Amino acid sequence: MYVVVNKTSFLYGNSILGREVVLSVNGLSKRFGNVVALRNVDLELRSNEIHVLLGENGAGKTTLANIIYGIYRPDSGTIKFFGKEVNIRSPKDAISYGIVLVQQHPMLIERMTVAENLALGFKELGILSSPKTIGRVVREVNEKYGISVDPEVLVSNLSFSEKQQVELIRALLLNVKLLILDEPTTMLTSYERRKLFSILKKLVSDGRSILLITHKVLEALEVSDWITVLRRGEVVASRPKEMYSVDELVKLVVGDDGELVSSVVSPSKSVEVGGNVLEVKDLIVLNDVGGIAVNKVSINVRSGEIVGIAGVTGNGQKELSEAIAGLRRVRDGRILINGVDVTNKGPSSRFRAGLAYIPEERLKYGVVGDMSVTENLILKDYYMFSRFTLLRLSDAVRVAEECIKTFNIVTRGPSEKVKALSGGNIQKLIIARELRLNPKVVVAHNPTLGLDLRSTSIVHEQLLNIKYSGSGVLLISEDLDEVIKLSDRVLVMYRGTIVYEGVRGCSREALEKAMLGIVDV
Amino acid sequence: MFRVKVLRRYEVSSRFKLVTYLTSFIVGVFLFILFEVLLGANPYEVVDRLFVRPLTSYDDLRVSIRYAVPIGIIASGLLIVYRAGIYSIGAEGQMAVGAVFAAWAAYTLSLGSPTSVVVALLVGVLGGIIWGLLPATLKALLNVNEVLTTLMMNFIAYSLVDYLIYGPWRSPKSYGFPLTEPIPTVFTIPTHDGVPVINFLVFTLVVFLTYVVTKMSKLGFQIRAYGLNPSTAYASGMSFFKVVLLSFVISGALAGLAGALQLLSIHHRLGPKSWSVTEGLGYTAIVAAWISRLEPLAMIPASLLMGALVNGGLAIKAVLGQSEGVVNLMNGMILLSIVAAEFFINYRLVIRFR
Amino acid sequence: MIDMVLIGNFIFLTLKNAVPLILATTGEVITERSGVINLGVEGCMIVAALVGVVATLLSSNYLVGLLLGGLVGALLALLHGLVTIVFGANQIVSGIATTMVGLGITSLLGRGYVGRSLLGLRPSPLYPYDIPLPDYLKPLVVAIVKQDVVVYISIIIPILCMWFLFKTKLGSAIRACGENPVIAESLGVDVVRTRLLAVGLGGFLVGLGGAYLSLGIVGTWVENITAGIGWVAVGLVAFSMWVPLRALLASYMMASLISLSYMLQGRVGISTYFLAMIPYLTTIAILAIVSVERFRLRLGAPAALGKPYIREERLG
Repeated sequence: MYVVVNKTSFLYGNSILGREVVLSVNGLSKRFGNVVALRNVDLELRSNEIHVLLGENGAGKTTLANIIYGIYRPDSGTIKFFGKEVNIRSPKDAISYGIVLVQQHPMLIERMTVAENLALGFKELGILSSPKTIGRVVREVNEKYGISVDPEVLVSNLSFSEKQQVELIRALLLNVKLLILDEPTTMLTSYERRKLFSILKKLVSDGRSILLITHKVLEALEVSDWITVLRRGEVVASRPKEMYSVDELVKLVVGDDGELVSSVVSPSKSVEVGGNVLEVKDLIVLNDVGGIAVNKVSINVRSGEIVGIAGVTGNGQKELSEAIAGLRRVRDGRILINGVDVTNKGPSSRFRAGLAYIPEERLKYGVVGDMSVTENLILKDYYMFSRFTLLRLSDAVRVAEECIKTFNIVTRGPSEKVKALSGGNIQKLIIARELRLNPKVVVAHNPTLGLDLRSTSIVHEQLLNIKYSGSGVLLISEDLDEVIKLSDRVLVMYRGTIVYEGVRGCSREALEKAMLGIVDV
Repeated sequence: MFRVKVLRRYEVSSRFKLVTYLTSFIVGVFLFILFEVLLGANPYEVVDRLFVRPLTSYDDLRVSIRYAVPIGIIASGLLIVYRAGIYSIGAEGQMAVGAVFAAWAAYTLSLGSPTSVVVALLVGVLGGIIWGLLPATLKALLNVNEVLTTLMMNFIAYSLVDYLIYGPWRSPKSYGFPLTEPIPTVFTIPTHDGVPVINFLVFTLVVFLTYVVTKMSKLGFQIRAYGLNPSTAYASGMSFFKVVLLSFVISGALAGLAGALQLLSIHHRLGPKSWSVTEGLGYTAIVAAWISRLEPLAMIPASLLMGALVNGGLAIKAVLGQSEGVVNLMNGMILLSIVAAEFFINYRLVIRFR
Repeated sequence: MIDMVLIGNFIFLTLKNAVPLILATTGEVITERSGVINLGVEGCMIVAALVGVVATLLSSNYLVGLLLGGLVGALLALLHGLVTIVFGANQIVSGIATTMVGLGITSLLGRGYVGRSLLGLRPSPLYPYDIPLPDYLKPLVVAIVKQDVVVYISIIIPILCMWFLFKTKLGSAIRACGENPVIAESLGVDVVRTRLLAVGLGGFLVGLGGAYLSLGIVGTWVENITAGIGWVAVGLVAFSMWVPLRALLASYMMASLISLSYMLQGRVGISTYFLAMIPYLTTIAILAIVSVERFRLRLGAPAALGKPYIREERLG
């Protein structure tokens, strides 16, 4: 107990003197080829502490976490765990020290139960024993930390938030001392986020430490005890939470490139809205296990407008997007592109009707990695480059060179294999290819997933250009900010139905609640 | 203890690929020779029979070419389906049925030469195509595993041939041995000195056409897309149905052609397993296709090589008194080694001793 | 009047003929559950068949023959496993190659044993005594009771495997490898080792089936003794949706068709050769049935089946 003499001693009283230093990182540097990911990073983490690592996408936070977890090795610098210098060579090593990393996407086997998943790594369980016995441990943990996961449930039936909780239980079963969470809240609703944070607080009160990685400033202030800000691979600040103000924090995170972030490519031009380019009527689509994923959904997109569908991933967006693209059969309902009924006809009928598709899974549906840039650019209209029924790639190369220039695709040349390109450039290539066909409507599903800031803003620019040129865009995205920024009309999808419809400027809070299923009639 | 690290290679030079591939081929052959030695064969004799003679002595070279031609024709068709990611192993059955159809044409049609030969060949091609249609449609419509379906068709083809040679087409003059009548001479293809020159010309034509189709045609582009990334190919509007069906038709046609050629130029009659028209070449062609790394131009040396090996293998069988299994064993060893070599092409092993 | 003797014969044949199918299919189910397709089943079976005969002749005990057959099956399967799991090679081509090797080796090595008699050394009926029952019941009971012990074991094994795959931690590990090896590895499973185990275990069961084929059913060694039964088993795996109990049922179904085709030979007007096609045609048919989306049977397939898994060290 310390008497409050001034602000500083109040703060430092509890933090420094009472707590042990769990993790100490000194002078850590890491580069990938020519790119410097981390430069001379120092970090100190104590017990009973939620330490937030704050920074933009690409600032180096994930790299740092991966080094601590043994996925990468640092070029220089040391890591000390409980005062002893350690050399973490692999995740297995990290786990043996008591460090567990929970990734953004849950790494669980969908078709097995929670207990079966957890039993896999549980050394104390014999190879022929039943995984069910772990259920008892799970229930104990549930009670202690306010988690509510039934161990006998199939993982595929869990919500994202529940899957995350299973990961937390797994960490506890591994006797975690330092828990690293990488962007844990991107797919959570506000309610679920608050629940997560309360669980985390209980976890640290037992003496553990948590390193939480995020790019959201407000969240950092909400849950942390200590915040370290990373920018461009360097530590720009590291203090207890109370010593930051919101504005100061934002400035630290963003630095001088404040313009990049806030220079939102705001839709400035107004475009005349025309007739329907895409109509979805009473669509019913099943998911992979036979359940209903899209439940009587009706949407329409007109030329000159961007319609955004917001919602937490897993509420039917994937199935909806695949159905519109012709990759998934429709159980009932109709899909019309420019008035042409293409329901249950294959993908080629869609392009012929004027649809372009920017898929969420780029490598699976978007490009053939082992083919060249040129070949990927003509994937949909290769037959236009033929003479006497033979393909003439030389004509295509010219087109490729144009696209590379126009869309600023960073590549060594039209004959480079696409798998060597970065994610952002692959996305640019996909957009280039789709736009080449002058589509009337573009369906974009999570188009900026995993892209760095620069590529993201370029993609946004492209989507707006599509709108200005008189075509329509259906934007399906789990990033609410993106949807709000770009859409003229916003729909919210929850459990397979559209639960909310709003126009540009509508209340963000209403959208967030709708994403949770809370709709005020 | 030592620690092994596996690192993915990103840039692989063609020369490295070639070297690794050749090495793996040699390893496979070496393993085969090793096995023969374990069985009590003289290693020098084995190498001599396997490599030296088939490629050097004029007599043996003729026989090697005789084997290489059907292998090459079939393998050209196989490389088209394999490039599409379709693992058809039905060449043996399609070849047999091609021969059956050609035999039917020979026995029932009366035409003048050379029309007769051409017609018989075309009928053989048709037979091969038909035999591949069932697995093809099942794959195109329902994505049924083509390995099992084509293989089953092979067994059914064997039964069909057995039925014909023991039954309706059995020759009364063969003293109880199940052979058919020889085909009328007007349907035979002459060989020069035992070398089927016409067949060889057909073979080169086939290789040329395969090259054109795979590298330069629209179908070839689609096949390549499906082989490399089927989901993207489908999402891009390329028709799965068309690609599957056309590739099967081509490979069936070529296998049927090979079977018909074998019948008309060399065997002149249908017989049971040990006298069969196919001589197991449908399976050897699979190995040839993989050796050529699915590259049409490499098909010529690959088939010559396999032809020589088959010749050598059968020679070993005769000389050392072994059974047909020789060829099978050799094929298997080589294929395994080649397939394992892919690993070394794509990854690098780093072994550290501590 | 129904000919009870005929029915009794039919049941007897079916129960017996099903054994290699049950064992091979169940074994391959385990292997495929870990994400590895072993198309070398035919090769493993035939090698085991030969080894079974030879070992029995040498040891005068068919149990030794069965066990060694199983072991050899496991070894050949592990060869395929080495190439595909450790070297990440194409599983389909490797399996075909393994079968070729198996067929080739047995053809070469088995020459001296063709037709060799196994007098007295074959598996014998468990209940050798006479059954005092009336004529209309006797054939049925005989068909069931006068089987050798392997037939009964072949019924127990799929049940055991059900327990193993679905109620034990190791079984969960195997299934995890087949669903998503990357996630399995991160959850603590050694994917390479677990897959090898599944392949070896599966290969052992396949080998047992192959050995029984020569010892229990045919009674001697002949060339190409398997005649594609290994391939049929692979087809049955999909048909049984990778569930061992269903594999049992599917095997009996196929075995009854095979027995039927034997018994019809000479009786019905259809030529032997066409009857011989029955198992192959049936396999194609069931594969087609399984693939029809309406039945949603494809959902049973392990998600990562056939895809190689390489544990890479990230560069850096």
